[in-house]
Amino acid sequence: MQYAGIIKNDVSAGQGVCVTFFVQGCPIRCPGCHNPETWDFDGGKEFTPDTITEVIEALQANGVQRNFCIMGGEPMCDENLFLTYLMLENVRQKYPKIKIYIWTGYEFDYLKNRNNNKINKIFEMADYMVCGPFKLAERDITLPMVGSRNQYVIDLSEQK
Amino acid sequence: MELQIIKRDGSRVPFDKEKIIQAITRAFIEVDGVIYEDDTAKDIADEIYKMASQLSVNDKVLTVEQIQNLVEDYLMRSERKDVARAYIRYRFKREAARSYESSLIKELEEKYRASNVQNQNANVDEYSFGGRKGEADAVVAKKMALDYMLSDMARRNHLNNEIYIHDLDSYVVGSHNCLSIPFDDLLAKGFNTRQTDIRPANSINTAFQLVAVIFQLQSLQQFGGVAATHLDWTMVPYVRKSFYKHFIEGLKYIEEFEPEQEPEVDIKDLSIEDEWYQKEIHERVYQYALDKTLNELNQAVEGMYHNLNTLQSRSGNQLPFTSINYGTCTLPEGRMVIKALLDGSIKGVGKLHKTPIFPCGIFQYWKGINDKPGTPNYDLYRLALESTAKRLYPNYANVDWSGNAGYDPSDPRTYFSTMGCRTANGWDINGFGQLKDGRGNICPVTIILPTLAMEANGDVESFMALLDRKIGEARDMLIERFEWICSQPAASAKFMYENNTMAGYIPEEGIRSALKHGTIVIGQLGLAECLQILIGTDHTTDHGMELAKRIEQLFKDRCAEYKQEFKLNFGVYYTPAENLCYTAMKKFVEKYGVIPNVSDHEFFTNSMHVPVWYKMSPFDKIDIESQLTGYSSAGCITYVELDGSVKHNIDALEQIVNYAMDHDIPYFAVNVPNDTCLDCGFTGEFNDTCPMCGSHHIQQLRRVTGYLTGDYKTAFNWGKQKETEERQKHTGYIE
Repeated sequence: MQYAGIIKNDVSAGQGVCVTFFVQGCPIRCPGCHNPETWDFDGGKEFTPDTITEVIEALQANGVQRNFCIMGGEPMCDENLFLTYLMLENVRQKYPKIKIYIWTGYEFDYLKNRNNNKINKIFEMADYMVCGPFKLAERDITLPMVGSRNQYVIDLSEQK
Repeated sequence: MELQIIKRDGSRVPFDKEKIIQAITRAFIEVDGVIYEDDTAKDIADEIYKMASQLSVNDKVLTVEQIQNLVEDYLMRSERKDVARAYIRYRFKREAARSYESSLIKELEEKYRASNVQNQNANVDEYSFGGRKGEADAVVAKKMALDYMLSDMARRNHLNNEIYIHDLDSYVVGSHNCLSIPFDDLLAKGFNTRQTDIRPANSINTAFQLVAVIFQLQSLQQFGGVAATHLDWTMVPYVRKSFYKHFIEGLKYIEEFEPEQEPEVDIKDLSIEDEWYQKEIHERVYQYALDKTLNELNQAVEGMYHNLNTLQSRSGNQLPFTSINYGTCTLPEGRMVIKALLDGSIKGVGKLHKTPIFPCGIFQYWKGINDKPGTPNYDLYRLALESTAKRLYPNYANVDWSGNAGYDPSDPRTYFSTMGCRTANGWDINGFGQLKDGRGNICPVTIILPTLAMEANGDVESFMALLDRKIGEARDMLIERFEWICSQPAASAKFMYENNTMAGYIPEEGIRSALKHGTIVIGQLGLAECLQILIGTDHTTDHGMELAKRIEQLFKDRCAEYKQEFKLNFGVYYTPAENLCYTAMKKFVEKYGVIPNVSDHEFFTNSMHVPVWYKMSPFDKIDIESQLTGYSSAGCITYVELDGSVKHNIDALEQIVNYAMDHDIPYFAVNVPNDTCLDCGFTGEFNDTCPMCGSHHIQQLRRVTGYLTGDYKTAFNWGKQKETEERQKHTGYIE
């Protein structure tokens, strides 16, 4: 299993200082993608149990509680679903109160309608999901959290 | 044909026997004291003429140098070898004077024509008429100081790249560095200028105009920056005065009513929430007065921002280095002022609403007052963070800083405040304690640590001994300059002494009575590189930190001893070294060559900072630098570099600033790339192409010391440009 990398001090993703975990591999591959090096499922580096420890520790390095973000790559595609689930389960267990953000190129309704057990569990564990493919024609660099105007943020607590 | 000579400037003149007679006579007089045989010189000159005539057959024209050689040879062959030596000495001296003069002229010409602009100070426009005059003047003034004023010890240290004397061009006139202006007094009492006097301010609008005027006037009395230490508190009486006026007007025109009774207290002490206003009864009038006051306040603040970015000072080539501290006043009037200052900063200046370069805003963070949700000014702290993310200002001063112990919580003039660059007023041994107003830095020197490490051959114990000796020499250099500054007449800075902008002046005692409350400070450059030379690592490792603390402890101990011994405010200073970081490195490389991890960058690392090229989280950087900030009483700053997108993430910025304050960082600044398109005004992080309109006409604003300047690629010196480009972000990198 592969992953792309970790940003341990990220101020550009979720609110507050975040640890951002990048999965490796994406089937959507939007033109103009910010991270095309994360498309290939065989790229990145090997995921090991130590990677989980690394993330858990980074979330509270220097005694500063950070929030957690997963992006990629595509965290919600079938190939990465297990890893996303695994990361969330570990992070949530250790830090019940922090905010968890997921970035996906899928539309929220599509994911919801799949009625997949793992996906539904992910919905339960995460707080926000930033959804929708990046569309070059609708690119807008002034918007927070998203890259193009068609993308949107779902507050998962309202879905529960 | 008459014998012709070519002069040094290339012109031809007839051979002049008289000149040779004069030169030889001078040599005789020097040796014998008097001249006994009047004709000797004339005889020699005749001989020289004959020899020259023989040499110049076939129209070959001789140069002055050749004639002088003939005289020299003749005298050497004669019995008066002592006279020959005197003649040679004289010739050598004249030659040295000539080359001195021609190099001076060349340098002056460069400055007058702005043909080799170095941007020593990012705030000076060296191309402007005023800037060219000023820079040329600085060349002469520096030479005067170096060649005729400094002691041998001081000159050697300066030229050897060991102890640098800052602002050498201001040495000769004996002006001082910087000042925190007692605005409370100046606005309340008014002040005198050369041509008139100014009445006390009676409205918030006038008060803010006068702030800009006073900044301007004071900056002409000195060579460094000017600051307001608690502008929110300072402005409270004037908000009240404006509010009262608008309220009375409202009563008159809205309710056709005149109050039966004047307030019992002075208007400046009458809170806008005082019962006298009978808020409920005159609800409409009250709201009218409030709106009018806010409107006036916002206009006044906007006026001040524009003035401070407009009114060029010092022969029209630079803006005064202005800083304003604020954030702790919880009175409704003070809160209005803080909000107006922050709104003005966020709004920006000019048609494109660009980031104001001045004043350097400094938000005074104080636990229990503005640090957490529920504290009275927390909303204003959040607004400050928003401004920082967008405009780089305000920076953050830590009122709880342990180094400002002994301040009076009921006197805002004693709260920790700073000059934008970082220079701060520590405890005054001459009676003012932690009072900041009316005091400033008198003069600084900086010890270039890597030079000392090399001179000690990289041996730690020899280095510590050498450093101890050099700190002692730095003390003597400061006293030398301090005494010179004290010897100036008060008339040199009339505005300052007449209006007591520098506090404590007693005419019968001379200006020393005021200057003694200021600080004289020993700075440092390149701790990181120094440690690399000594032990092959720097203070980002435990081993390096151990030695770093030993070094800083020595600085601190010595300054404390000197302070007691001389009753002068010696302090440890983490120097801005805007120009020095580059020039000191250049000299270092000339002498010692390029050494890995020491001189393989084009600048030395600032004071005790972590090198800018290290990848490190903001928290780790704060952890390291906060272990050393406590040693400095005369000023230091810690920066972190963040992604531009932090403007959408004020929570993250708050966590980082809180972390710095919790770790006892006295003065903290956040660097966020600030690129502004000069065509459409879009501001963000995009370097050379505007993502909105595609323009390449971009201003790239970066922090230089604690201040900002204009575009870094045109305003910074080469070393500082390189430093800026090597700065690593402390967030957003992949591990």
